[in-house]
Amino acid sequence: MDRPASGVSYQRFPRVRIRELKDDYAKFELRDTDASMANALRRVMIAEVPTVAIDLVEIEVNSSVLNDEFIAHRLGLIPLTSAAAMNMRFSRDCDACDGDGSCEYCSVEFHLAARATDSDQTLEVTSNDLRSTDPKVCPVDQARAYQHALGGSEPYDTATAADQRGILIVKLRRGQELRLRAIARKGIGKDHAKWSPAATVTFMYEPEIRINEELMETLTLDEKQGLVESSPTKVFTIDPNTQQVSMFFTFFKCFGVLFSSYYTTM
Amino acid sequence: MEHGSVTDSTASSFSIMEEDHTLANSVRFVLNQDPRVAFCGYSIPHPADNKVNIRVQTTGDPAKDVLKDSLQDLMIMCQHVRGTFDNAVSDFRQNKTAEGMDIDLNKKK
Repeated sequence: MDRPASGVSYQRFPRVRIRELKDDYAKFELRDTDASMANALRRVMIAEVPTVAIDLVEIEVNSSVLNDEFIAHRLGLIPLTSAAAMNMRFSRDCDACDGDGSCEYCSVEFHLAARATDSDQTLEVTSNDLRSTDPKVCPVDQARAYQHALGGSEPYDTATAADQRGILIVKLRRGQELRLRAIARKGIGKDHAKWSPAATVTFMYEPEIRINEELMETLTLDEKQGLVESSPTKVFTIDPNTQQVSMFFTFFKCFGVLFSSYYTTM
Repeated sequence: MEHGSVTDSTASSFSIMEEDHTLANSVRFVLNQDPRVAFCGYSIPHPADNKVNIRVQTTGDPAKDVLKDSLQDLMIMCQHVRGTFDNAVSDFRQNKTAEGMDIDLNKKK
């Protein structure tokens, strides 16, 4: 890239440091850059990272209390493991299947067949009943349960017995049946929120607070205690021995902190 | 699409389709870093249209070249962030397996 000799852009290169990293939660710092970069990162994470979600549903039998499009909508919102999404093609770009989304390069097929038996108990049709033709793409909670059963990862903090049953799609009474075939495709959050991989992405500035030690020395102990107590969130603390006011937290000298929660694995 | 004047190439407005604040705000930030730029700003004519207008006025260089250089800078910055992030993730994972992540400036709650 050629630069004119007269003007050199004062380009800053940002730095990244990870604070916390779990499968569905990441907290990291972004330094030496502007809010516009952090915001652009946040916007792209929400709207433009491709994921896989159910897009086309063919219902063979539905005698449940919910109508067909209701169930199709709910199926679309089920999060699927999308590690393979980057290798897939968008259906409209696929040249192997005329773009109608039925080949292995651009789509994944799911089957669901549930029939409430003649017992009086309500049958809950959940995401665990969705059978995938590609083991790499399956509902996220199925993948989590599988991982947990293998003993690979620690269970998520929010995993309870209820969550192990899967995401509820519809409840069936005795004699009701649901049978359908669903096709999942690659997409981005801009088209429909079901394709957004992020649950929430936020960022905020962390302030840099320095205490003027000289002025602090001129205060009496009562005044120092008044200062410490006046803060609604505990920002300062006072050392009882030396009567020195210091930070309760050690704030990072950073330009911005980006928090994010992803629903799919990073 | 560039709306400029035939006589004065240092100031022109660019209309970019299929883009929004994500690109425009970042490009505006990078343009501001460039000392050749006298004025820069962006606007979205209507939120329903996927279009963004970027106005660039320079101190003598053609506005088109300055914008192009800024877009290149932005691309390099993003690639750098990507590489840095990958390194940070692998470092974190290594440190985590060795012992708990020991951050010296840790927040003491």
